Amino acid sequence: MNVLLQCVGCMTATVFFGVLLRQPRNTHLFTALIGLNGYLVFLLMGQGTYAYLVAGLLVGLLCELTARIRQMAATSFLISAIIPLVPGLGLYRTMLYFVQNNYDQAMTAGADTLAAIMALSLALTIATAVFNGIRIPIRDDHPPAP
Amino acid sequence: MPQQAQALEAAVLAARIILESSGETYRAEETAQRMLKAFGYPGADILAFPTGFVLSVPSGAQPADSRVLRIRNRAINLKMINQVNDISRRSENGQLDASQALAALQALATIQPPGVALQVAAFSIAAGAFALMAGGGGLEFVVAALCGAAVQSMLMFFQRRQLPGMLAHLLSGALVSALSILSIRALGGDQEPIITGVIMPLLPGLAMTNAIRDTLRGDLLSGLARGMEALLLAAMLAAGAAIVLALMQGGSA
Repeated sequence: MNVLLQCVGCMTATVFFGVLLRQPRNTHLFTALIGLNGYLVFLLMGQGTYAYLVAGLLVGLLCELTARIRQMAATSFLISAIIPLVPGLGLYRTMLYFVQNNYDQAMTAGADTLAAIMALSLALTIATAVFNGIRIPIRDDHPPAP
Repeated sequence: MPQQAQALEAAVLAARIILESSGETYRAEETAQRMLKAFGYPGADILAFPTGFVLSVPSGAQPADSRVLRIRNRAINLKMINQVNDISRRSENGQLDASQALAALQALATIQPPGVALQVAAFSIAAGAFALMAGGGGLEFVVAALCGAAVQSMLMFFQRRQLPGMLAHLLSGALVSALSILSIRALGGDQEPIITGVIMPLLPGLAMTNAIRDTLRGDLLSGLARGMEALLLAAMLAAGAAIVLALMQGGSA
C-alpha cells in the first residue's frame, strides 16, 4: 500500500514537475512512465548507491532513446524523468544534522547523498555518451584554411 | 532584407531562444550552424556560453559578418527548445527558407510564457507528490502543496523583477523551513517529507544535466559554468533552509 502511494506520488510529481519546466505536452506520458520505471528499479535494488547507478542508467538510456525516436531534445525527457531519483531526502537530513550539531550523522548522510548524486551524474554521463557516439557529425564542411 | 541578413538574423534568433530557455550551449551552436548551412552559408562559426554568444558568417571577399549577443535573462522552457529544434530541422530539410524560418522564430519569440497560476499550481502539486514519495501522508501532501505555492509565487515575483536567482533560492529555502515549521506547530505532521517535498522541485536539475551534457561535448567552459551554477543554487537553497531551521529550533529539534 505504501509502495503504491509512493508510485502514484512518483508519477504525479514527474508530470507536474514537467509542467513546471514547460515540457512539451506530448512528453508527459513518457516521462511519467520512465520516471516510474527508474524509481521501481531503484526500490527493488534496495536504494543503495548501485541502485542509483543502475536506475539512473536505465532512465538515461530510455530518455535518450525516446528523444531520438520522437526527434526531440533529450533534455525535455531527462530532467523530469530523473527527478524521482534525486536524493532530496538525503540533502534535507544532512542539513538537519548539521544544524543540530550532529556532525557524525551529518557526515554519513552527506557522504551518502554525495555518492548518490555522483552515481546519478555518472549514469547520465554514460547514457548520453552512448547516444552521442551514434549521431551524425555536422562539422565536416569548414572551408579549408586560406 | 537581403538573404544573407535574414539567414544571419534567423540563426542569431534561434541561438538566442535556445540559450534564454536554458538549452545546452552545444545545441545553440549546432542549431545556428545547421541553419546557416541549410541557407547556404556553410563556413559560419559560433561560440556560445550560457551567458552569450558570438556568431560569424564569412561573406566572400568582404570581412566576415558577425554578431555578439549577451544573454541576460534565462528561464527554463523546454517546449521552446523543442520548437526551435523543429524549425531548424525543417530548414535543413529545405521546407523553410531563410525568411520563413526567421518569421517562424520571430513568432516563437513573442509567445507569452504560460500564466502564473499554472506554474504555481504545478509547483504545489509536484511538491505535494514529492512529500508523498518522501513518506508523507495526506496532511503532509496538503501542507507541502501550500508551502510550494507560496515558494513558487515568490520565485516568480523575483523572476519578474529580474532579481538575482541566487538570492531567490536562499530566500526560498528559508521560506520553506519557516512555513513548514509554523504549520507543523499549528497542525502537527511530519517535518521531513514536507521540507523534502518542497525542496525537490527547487533543486537545480537542469543546470546539473546541462553541465554533464556540455562537458561531454567538449564545451568545458560551459560545463564548468553550469556545474558552478548548480552547486551554488543547491548550496544557497540548503543554507537558507538550514539557517531558519537553526533559528526556529535552536539546534535541538
